[in-house]
Amino acid sequence: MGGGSAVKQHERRFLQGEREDTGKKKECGEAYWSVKTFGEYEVRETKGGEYGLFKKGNLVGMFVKATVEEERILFPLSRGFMLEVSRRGVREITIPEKALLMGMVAADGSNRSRREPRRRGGYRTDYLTAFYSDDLELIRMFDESANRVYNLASHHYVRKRNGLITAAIYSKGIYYDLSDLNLKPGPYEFHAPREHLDDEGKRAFLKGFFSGDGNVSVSGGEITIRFYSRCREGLEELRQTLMDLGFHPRGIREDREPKGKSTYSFLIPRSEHIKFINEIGSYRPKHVRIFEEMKRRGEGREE
Amino acid sequence: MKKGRCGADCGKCPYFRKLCIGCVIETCLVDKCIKGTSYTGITHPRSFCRLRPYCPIGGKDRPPPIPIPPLAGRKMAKVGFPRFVPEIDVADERSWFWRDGFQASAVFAPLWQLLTNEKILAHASSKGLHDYLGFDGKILLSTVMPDELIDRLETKDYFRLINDLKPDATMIPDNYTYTDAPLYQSWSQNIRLVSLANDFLKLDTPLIGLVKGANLRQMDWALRKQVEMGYASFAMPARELFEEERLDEFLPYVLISLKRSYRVREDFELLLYGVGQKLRNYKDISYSSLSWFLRAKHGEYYWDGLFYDLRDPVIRFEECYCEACGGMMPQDIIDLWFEDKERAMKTLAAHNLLDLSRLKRRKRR
Ligand SMILES: [Zn+2]
Ligand SMILES: [Zn+2]
Repeated sequence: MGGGSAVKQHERRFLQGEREDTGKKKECGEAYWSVKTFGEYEVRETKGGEYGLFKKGNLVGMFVKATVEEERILFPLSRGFMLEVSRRGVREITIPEKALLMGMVAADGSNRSRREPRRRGGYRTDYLTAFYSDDLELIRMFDESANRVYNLASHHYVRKRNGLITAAIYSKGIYYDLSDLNLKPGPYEFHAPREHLDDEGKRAFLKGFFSGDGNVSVSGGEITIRFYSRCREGLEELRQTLMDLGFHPRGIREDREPKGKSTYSFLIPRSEHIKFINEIGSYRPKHVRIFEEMKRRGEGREE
Repeated sequence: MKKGRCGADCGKCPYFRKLCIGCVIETCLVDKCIKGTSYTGITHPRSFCRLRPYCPIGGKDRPPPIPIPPLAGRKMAKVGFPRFVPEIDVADERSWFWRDGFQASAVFAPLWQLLTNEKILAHASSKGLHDYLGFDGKILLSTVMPDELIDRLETKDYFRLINDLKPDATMIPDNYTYTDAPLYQSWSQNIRLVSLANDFLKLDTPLIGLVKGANLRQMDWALRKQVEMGYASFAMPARELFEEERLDEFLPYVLISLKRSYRVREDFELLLYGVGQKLRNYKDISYSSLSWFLRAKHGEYYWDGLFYDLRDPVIRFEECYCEACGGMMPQDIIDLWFEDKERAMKTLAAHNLLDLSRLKRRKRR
């Protein structure tokens, strides 16, 4: 398959190929020992403190850093990914900051591209990844995670009419990264990439999503916590994600709107409100205020 | 005495001392590594360096040179590429557009998808690709695949697969030729390509040669060897060069090289593989890619060979009278997306396919 540059190919296929300053060399050594074995996978460490991942004796990946835990080994990759090696095999998971960013974009963002002819011949492609909110705190969270994961800053635009802020990043790398995860496959659609999230990532994704398209309402002393969206499939995946974490969300409800379009939603049962607040929560200041009040009351009741 | 940039002794190179300019590549990864810059996954961490055999201080010997076999020859007819040859996903039936009544005279089926999916491979091998896919047109087998798979397959494996799958034509086996790796590696790979192209002459299946190489000399050399053997249809895997915006560095010379080798232009044909867009500067070249389908999955719409987000105001309210749309505009596809996602996606995919297959430019109203 390889044509063009080996470095670019590695970036595209393995999220590797980053430059490392390794100093001038007169010779090159290669001693190593085994760190851990999971089934057909083996992790070896070298004299220089580097790691190699072997499958049935063949080198499949190499890394400069590793976090060795009891049940798994994590290798940092670029663009906010980690390679998780465990008894279940190997998978790419995202760091929590990236999961948060994805949750926010899934709820209130977009990820798109377009290719256009240039006036003087040739073509150019524009790539846009954006998050929309009228809440400065959420825009700040989006910027912070984008900076942490991709090392990129966003441009802000404010719509005068309603104060809606757009935080926009123009980057081919981010566009393809999120497209490959199938995060926003079509207009008004999203997916929860559960296979790329560990428990911490799942919580961060849900928190990001809930901050955008979550709803906390108080009426007559009754509080409801509700996820809503136009995308039924994505919403079902959010329910699954919550179930993975031990929640028992209620079934999806459809609210028909004129012109045949529908909004879907589901509720978190009241018995799990405190669990939700403690484990997931929200960054939206309006949610946070109510949650804090509920926690005070909830804890008071337990005493 | 000739020394490569990285310090390797090019004077002792068993390959083409005249054809090869020696390793003077500015971007040579071995050279960079020795001077202090390495790349994770390729030359770093150093104990797992993939280019160690090509490194003068790496402490491993170069693999022995591959001998160039005496070349046989056979008169070959062109495969007959249409302007656009859609690639399909053999594992995703939604890309099997003929089931929805759309036509194409040929498709590319990628071999690597079969190799990484044992169930589908077993199924397709037992009855052949035609029966497996239920497609009446020509099925062209694409051998373009990841490097790890390339290294695993020998001639006899290809022969067995091709005999089982029974495609109407097959590419010769793919290789890897990186512009920033030592030339010894890319020359070895290109000689392997020619050697396998020679083996493939024994097959009854019509053949598609490959245009590959880390530089123009290599491309030209491999191409001329294939012409000598009688190849008349060629595919140039160009996804990487296209994305790196370097296609213009190579393509005009490939065309010159081909034109020099044949008496008449009509004697050969060239297809760009992996480029999901029409290149207006190059006439009479065919294309193939899966992007008509991949982009549809992402809600992207082709118009005159360029792609747009469905919501893009440039095309959003432009009616399309192709067989798939029948007067619908992108906004109608968005609306349909809410009612019946599968149908909307398939309509969009079929529209993309038809747009890429169009020969004439559209008229803007
Ligand atoms: Zn070199
Ligand atoms: Zn159409």
